[in-house]
Amino acid sequence: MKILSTVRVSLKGLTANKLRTFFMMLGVLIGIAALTVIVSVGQGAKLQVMQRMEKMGAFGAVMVVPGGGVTRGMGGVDNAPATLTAEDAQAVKAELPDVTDVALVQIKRDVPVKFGGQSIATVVWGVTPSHQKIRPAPLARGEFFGSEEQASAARVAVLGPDTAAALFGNADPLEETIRLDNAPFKVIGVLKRQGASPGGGNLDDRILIPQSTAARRLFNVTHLSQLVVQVKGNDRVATAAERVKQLLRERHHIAPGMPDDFSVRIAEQMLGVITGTSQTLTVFLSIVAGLSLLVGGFIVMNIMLISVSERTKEIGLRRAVGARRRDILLQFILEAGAVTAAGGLVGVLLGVGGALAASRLLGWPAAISWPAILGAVCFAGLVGLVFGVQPARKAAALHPVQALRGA
Amino acid sequence: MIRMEAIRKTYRMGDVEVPALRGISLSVRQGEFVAIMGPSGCGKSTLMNLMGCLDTPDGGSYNLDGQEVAGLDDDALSAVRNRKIGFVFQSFNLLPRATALENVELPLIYRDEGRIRERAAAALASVGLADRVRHKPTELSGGQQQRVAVARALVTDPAILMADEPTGNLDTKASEEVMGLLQDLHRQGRTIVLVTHEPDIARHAERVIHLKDGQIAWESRPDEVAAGTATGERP
Repeated sequence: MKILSTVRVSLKGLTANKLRTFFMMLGVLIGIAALTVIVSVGQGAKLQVMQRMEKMGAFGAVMVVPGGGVTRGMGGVDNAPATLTAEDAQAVKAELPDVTDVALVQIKRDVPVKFGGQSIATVVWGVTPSHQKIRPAPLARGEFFGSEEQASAARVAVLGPDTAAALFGNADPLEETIRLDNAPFKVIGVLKRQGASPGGGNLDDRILIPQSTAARRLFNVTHLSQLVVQVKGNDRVATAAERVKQLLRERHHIAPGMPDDFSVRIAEQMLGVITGTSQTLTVFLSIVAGLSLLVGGFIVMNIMLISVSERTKEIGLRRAVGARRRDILLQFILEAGAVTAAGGLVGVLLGVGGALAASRLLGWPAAISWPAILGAVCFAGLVGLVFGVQPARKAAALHPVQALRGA
Repeated sequence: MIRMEAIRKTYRMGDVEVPALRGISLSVRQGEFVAIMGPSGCGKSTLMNLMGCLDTPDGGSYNLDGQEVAGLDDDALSAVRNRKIGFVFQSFNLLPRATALENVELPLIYRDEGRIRERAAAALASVGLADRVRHKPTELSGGQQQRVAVARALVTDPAILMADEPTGNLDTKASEEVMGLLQDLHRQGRTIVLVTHEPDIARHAERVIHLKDGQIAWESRPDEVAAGTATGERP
């Protein structure tokens, strides 16, 4: 018997009882749809974080923060250990071959800011001009400060769009003088809207000033909050990070076996920390969806068993006109496999629709992974084949005489 | 065409062995129309199943169309059923959701041959149902359904046509219609084995084999059966 005619016979068996076929499809459809949504949304969330980090130039750079262990978020100059210095930065730039540039960052939270009658408190970032090259923050208006302002410790400021709106409303902030901790600063630029940082902080509510100005005129500290190291080539980031670590351990006179008094982070690591929770959740939900698929498999098996006992006479007739055991076996396995594969396909379509709707709702990019979807359909078909085997074996084992009698 | 020697078959029901056939020897010639008669429980269904290769005997030899089939395995028996035997059942056994044409195509699906549709259509035409190919069984009368079943039995051009109580579910008129069809086929040279318990139906055959308690009791000519002289004990 040709495989093609077996397939035709199987499809005929399925169209014969549409309601039953529908319920069998439903068994796998729900599981596959749920799986598709979960994986797509999870991937979308990860993709979003990666896009943000990429936009900020996070890849291809090594970040060093003071203090050992894993600290989350950004420490300010007043609450983080004072272990990282400008001299460290110079050494990293001068001594490590793959390092193309470094940016010094000093951060302080809750700095009082005044303009006219408006008074707010926000985060002030003192950064060297190289920061704008390594982690570009695009400007909506005006310009960023350069090496001249850094050298002269000029009192100039670039505002985040939220900060500008809080101080100036709809008025033009450029060339205006604001007071940071009572010291006057001239506004020379306003940033474009960037949204949240990968860590979840608001990058739109901050004020950037030259790092030298921050150190000498505002914060009065020399230690750094961050040291951002630009590396030549994304593939050398991991080695560069290791070299930075060695150099800093040497410079800080840390004996072997003692813990670092700083932490070196690379984007891939941060990505892991940030997406770790959502990934765990995705895996957990996928397992639940997988279990529902298993339940669907049992539903398929049950309905196929009912179908086999109802169609005993048909099986007897087929055997009488020359069907071998394996023809009957193949017919019922293919029936189950075709139903579940079709259910998987419909489930994927529903799941993709659901994922697109969810990503629109959550403002995440939709990450529809077609290989994963193909895998899901194949897996659904496999569920049908595996759970279809037992009923099909039962059908094939029927004795022709007994089957014809309908027993 | 058929040569059976000392065929035995015993069924087990729990611990009790029930002998269904105890040494049957018979032969059916090419082109013959034979009826097998007997009261219920005499073993005629068992004999039919064995002749139709639906079951295997416990002992004896069975030569069908020049081939010894008593010791064949399941796959080989399936092939023999497909190639050499056409079945007509009491309850028609048509697939309810398939059309007449699809029902007739069924045996051809299980062999690697082409022109399935044309051959099925030709078989339906030969039983006078050329205008009913697209009808489902429920849209046909009982007699028409049984004619579809006969077409299905004929479509493979089998060596033997086996009819098991083919008129058991039909009224008198439809019965005559189907028996007429079988007689036409016999006149065209078909070998037919008919199982029945009705003397009226058995009289269409050339020869009647009477079974009793799993053995052949006697053979008779159809006119003797019809005359009522052979329904009970041998005269």
